[in-house]
Formats: sequence, structure tokens, C-alpha cells
Amino acid sequence: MAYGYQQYDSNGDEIVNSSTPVLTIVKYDTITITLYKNAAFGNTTYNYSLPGVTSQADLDDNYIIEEAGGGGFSLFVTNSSYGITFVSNGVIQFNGSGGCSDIFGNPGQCTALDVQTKTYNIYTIGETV
Amino acid sequence: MSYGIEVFDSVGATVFNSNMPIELAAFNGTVVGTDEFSSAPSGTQLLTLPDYLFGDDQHGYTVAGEDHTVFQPTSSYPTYSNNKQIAFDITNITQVSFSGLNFVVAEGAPIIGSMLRTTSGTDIDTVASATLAGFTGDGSLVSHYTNAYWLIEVTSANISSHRVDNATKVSHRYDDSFKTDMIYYARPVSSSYSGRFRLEISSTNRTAAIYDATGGNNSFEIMVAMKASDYGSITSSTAHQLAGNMSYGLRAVTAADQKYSANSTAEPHLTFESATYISKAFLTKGYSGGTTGTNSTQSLGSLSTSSNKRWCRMNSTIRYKVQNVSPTNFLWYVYYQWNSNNSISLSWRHGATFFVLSSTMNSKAPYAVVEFGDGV
Repeated sequence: MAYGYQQYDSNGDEIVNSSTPVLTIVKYDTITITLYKNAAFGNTTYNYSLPGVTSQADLDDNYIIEEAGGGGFSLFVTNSSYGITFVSNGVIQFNGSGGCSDIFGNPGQCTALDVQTKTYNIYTIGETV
Repeated sequence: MSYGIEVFDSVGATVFNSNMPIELAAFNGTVVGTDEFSSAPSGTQLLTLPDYLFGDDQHGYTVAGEDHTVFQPTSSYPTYSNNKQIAFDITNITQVSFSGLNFVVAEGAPIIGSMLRTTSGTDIDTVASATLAGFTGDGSLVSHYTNAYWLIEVTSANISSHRVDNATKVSHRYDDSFKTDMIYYARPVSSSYSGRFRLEISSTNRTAAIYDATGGNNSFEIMVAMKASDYGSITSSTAHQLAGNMSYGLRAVTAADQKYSANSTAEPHLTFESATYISKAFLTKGYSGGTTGTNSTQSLGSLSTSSNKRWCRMNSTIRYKVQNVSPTNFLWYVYYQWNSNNSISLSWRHGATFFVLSSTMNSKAPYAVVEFGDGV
């Protein structure tokens, strides 16, 4: 090895050799967001700082935004995942707006009860050590 | 680059940068697989996870402590039965009557389990008990407490040197909000194993188990890793240094004003340590599972032929979708389909029947195949 970085364990087995790119998958952050379905009652979007993200394709290919926990069960709010989109370099947006329904599942008018709190785990994949 | 380690190649390109987020291995063990369809894990089917993985040693103290004044007797001195005891003032005492009975309410005792500290912040010991002592009569009237005090006993330390009249001690409750994020990897022990498996975790019992759809007699290795900043928080043990120790090698730590993520606290944190193994991802995929009721497979990509052991990232296999078709109520999981060390994919299948109201798989979740180095 003419240059670079090598690392061995105490048995002399190689752990890292920088001549071969080492890719990672890492849990970067966990965030909890509360969004309304209708802007008349509160925020429907949330902008999140995600350093390094450069485009929607980059977000799709190199990050995993995982909704944590169960979907919940409520008579009053139809559970639905937030839309997640690229906004600008280093910023993505969670969007909770959407249609509302009554307790029988029929389309209805949104109220202040149509609000969801969700937790997301954010993973980065493919970064080179 | 304001901290860390960066290595360049002969033309000045970066080939290694300790600022990049990595996962470091902190624990490994072996567990016998549990038959997916016939039993619950027990005995050797449960791998006990050591406390140091959970961030227990990073429990700090709540911001506000409560002051206590060491009791200064006006007549007789407190009666101590051992050197773990100290007497504190009663800060307030009132009498209440209920249904013709008199009760005395005394205040000022430290919370049981809180850490007793000096005013300069040095830990003394945890509070094991707090009892009222030095009162007269039957203790039912405030007048009985003229020379009374709180008799405090700590867990094990000799604290007789702290019995200084009117000195101040501080009880601090623990802040246990810090938790590590553990990443579980698994692989079959036998090189001839072929089948599918998933992870089960008990946070209550701090155990891990592998449900194996091929039966219950196969052994699996489990490796627990965590992001470098969490790994660096382990200070109570060196057992997490799986590849060596810190009497040699490299360690990179950030400055105090650095954050791991936008939401994290600005603090010095570890970004790299050569005393353990790095998880090196070879295949990665975000996958949200298939349709309940329909078996399917999902490719993770292809692996080159190698004798280096491959490991499957298991955290997402605890998630499920509910097949709400009474009376089945099957839970559908993403299993790792292991054909060989060089052939690993995802399998969408159901496990045993279980009644729950909602699914836990509402989005993509990460799956990966990694290596930890030539020796593991």
C-alpha cells in the first residue's frame, strides 16, 4: 500500500483499507412532527434541514425516511403518511395536508381534530468513509 | 476540516475522512434460532444484551438539584447505627386531621434513588432510605418534632465525614432521557444454512432472538453496532472495543460546538475509533414490504463471491403489516432469505397469527448486507 489508510484488528485481520471505498448506512436523526391536514387550523408543512441533500433524486437514492412506530388507530383522523419532498439544497419538506373523512370513512370537512403527530427516522446510505 | 482524521491519495483526493458518519460494532454473541411457527424464545434462544449498550452509563442529572442542610442538634445528637447514615433538617412540618386521626406531614427528604452530592458537584452515593427520627411520643403531633430530623441512609458509601453541622448537600435525580440507537446484524453460524429469518427484540428484558422459518435448531451470530457518537458515549466498560483497545490506534473526537445532526446537542462526540469494527455496507435498500396475503421476494443486489462473512441488518425485520382477515390475523414480515454467504435477498412472508390493531410498516425501512472486516 503506497498511500492511504489501513486498519487491522488485534488478530492482524484487516478492518479498513481506504483503497476500497467503504460505504455506510447510518441512522442520522429522529424527528417528531405534528401537522394539520388543513392549513386553516395550523401548519400543514415542516421544513427540515438535511445537510448534503442536493435533489429529489439524491433524496430518493441516498436517504431512507422511515416512519417509526405503528400507524395508530383513531375514529377521528384517517392515518396517512406525510409527503416528503426535496425543497432546496440541504432542505426537505414534510407535508401533512390532505383530505379528511368522517368517522364512517366518508369524505368530510376538515376540523381542528384532523391533526397527526408522526416520528421519522432518517438514514443516510452510500456515504463513503 | 476542524477536527478528525483525513487521508488523501497521491493526487490529493480524500480516501478516508473520519467526519463521515459511521457505525461501530459494540457487542457480538450467538443465539439459537427460534422456530417461527411453533414456540416462543427461551433459554439459549435469547441473547442477553449488556447494559452498556443502552447508554445507561450516560445518565446525567436533572438540571435542578434539591438542597439539604445537615442537621444541627440543639440537644441530643442524632443516633446513627452505621456509617452510611446522615441526618438532614426537616424543612417544613404540618399537621392534618382526617376522620378524627392526626397525621403529620414532613418535608425535605431527598428522593429515594437520587444521587446525593456535595455543593461542588462531587457524587457521594445514592439515597437508599429516608425515615423520620428523633421525634418524641408517638409522633402524631407537630410538637413531637422539635428535635426531629430526616435520617438518610445511602447505598454503600461511608459518609460519616459529611456529618458537618449546617453543611449543605444536594440530591440530584437522574436524567435517563439518553438512549443509544442499537443496530442489530445477524448471520447464520453454519456455512450450509439456507433459509429465512427475522429479529425479535425485548426492550423490557433486554434480549434479542432470531425467528427462523426453517426450524429451531440453527445458531445465529448477532452483532450490535451503533453510530459512532453513541458508541463513544460508552464509558463504563471497554467490552465494546471488539478489535483491540485504545492503548494503540486512532480516535477522532469533534470539538465541543459540533452537532451530530441538526437536532442533536452541541457537544464533543466520537466520529471514529480503531479499537473496534466498522460496518461496511455492500448492499443497501429501502423497502416498504409487499402486499399482505401474497408471498414475494425482493432483490438487494448481487454480492461478489467472498469468504468474508456477510451480515444482515435486522432492525427493520421487527416491523410487520397486519393481514386483517379473520380469523387469520397473520403478521407479514420482511425476512432475510439466506441462500449462502454470497446470495442474500429479502422475502415477504407471514409469521404466526397475532392479533393487533395496526401495522408498524407504513413506509420504507432500511435493509442492508454489510461486512465488519476479514476476521469477523
